[in-house]
Amino acid sequence: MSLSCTWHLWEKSFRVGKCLPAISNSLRHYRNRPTHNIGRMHGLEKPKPPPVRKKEVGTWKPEEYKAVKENHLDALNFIVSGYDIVLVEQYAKFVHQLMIKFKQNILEVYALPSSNAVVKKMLGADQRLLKAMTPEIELTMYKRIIQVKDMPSQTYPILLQTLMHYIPQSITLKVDKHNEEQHLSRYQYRVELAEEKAMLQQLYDSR
Amino acid sequence: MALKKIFFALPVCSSRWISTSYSRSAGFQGSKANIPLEMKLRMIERKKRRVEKLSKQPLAFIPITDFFIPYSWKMDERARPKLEISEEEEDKRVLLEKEWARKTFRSRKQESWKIKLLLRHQQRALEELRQESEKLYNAALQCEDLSIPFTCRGPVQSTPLEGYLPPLGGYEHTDPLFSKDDLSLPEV
Repeated sequence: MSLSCTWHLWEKSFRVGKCLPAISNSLRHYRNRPTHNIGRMHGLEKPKPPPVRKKEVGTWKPEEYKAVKENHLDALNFIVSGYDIVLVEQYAKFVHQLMIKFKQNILEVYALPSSNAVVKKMLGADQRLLKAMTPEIELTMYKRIIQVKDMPSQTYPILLQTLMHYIPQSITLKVDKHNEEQHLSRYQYRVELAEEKAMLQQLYDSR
Repeated sequence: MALKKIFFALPVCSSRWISTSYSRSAGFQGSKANIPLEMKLRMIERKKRRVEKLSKQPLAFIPITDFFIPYSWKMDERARPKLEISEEEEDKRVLLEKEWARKTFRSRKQESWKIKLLLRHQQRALEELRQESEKLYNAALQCEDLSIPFTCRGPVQSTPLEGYLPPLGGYEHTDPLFSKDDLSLPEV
């Protein structure tokens, strides 16, 4: 658009008393043409992965957790556990933010179900067994997991060092490889299946 | 005729009888003694199919109950009264927060710079090593010698006292809900 054209538009708008047009008003929309929105860059959506099928919820897929590149680590679980939920959450947040800062491939960040730790005192000679001791306090142990995949083997010690430097009191950090046992610990125990399997075993034994 | 009348006049109750057939006798456990092999094989196949069907069902997550607040904590009587702070005190607090923010920002920046330096030095050292020998470079990048599994515990507020005998006792860890079979009856 030439300068004289723009000046013309300015003059006209001043006289009419309406708001000024944008100076680069050369984008005309042509909404009925197939080339509509040709140069559009904002508001684009990422392609979503297909939804998980009901049958496949909870199945163990070891290929998903293996390292793609050479000399890179398989899926690691950074387990933050402790009895103070505030500290656990804050430290888990710190670990997560550190991974994001160093551009690691974070698979998932989730919580494991909490368990209780009962601190027991032996008050008399007849309380020798753990069951018989008097409970002093019951603490819930909270757990948060940050799952990271494809971490280069040279950055792992550096990240560990920083995590060790910032660990708060009463927190345990555990780094472990992700395996089937840990994967299944998130899911409920199937009572019916176990019973049926036990019955099947009985039938096999009685043959 | 009179007997029949009485029979129909009485309330009808289910007549109990014991069957001598294998599958109808009371309970499944008690009747395995004299079952013929064919029948057993059929039972096994049925059980297998049932087990397959059940194992195809999707697994259910254990619900996370970390943030469940007991209702007794939500009573209005337990609410704290509102604190009245003077303007001076409020200003002091806000200024303190700002100073704290500045301090933490500075320290965070320093720490991230240190880590970046470390990584940079590491990268340079690896490049030099590669120029020296390819074998050593490949050995340095191996994943086997790294400390996995690794545990680290947080620091303690005070050092352990000398000559202190802690009280006798122990820790009992319970399993999380729904992770084990809870059908066992409690001890009386």
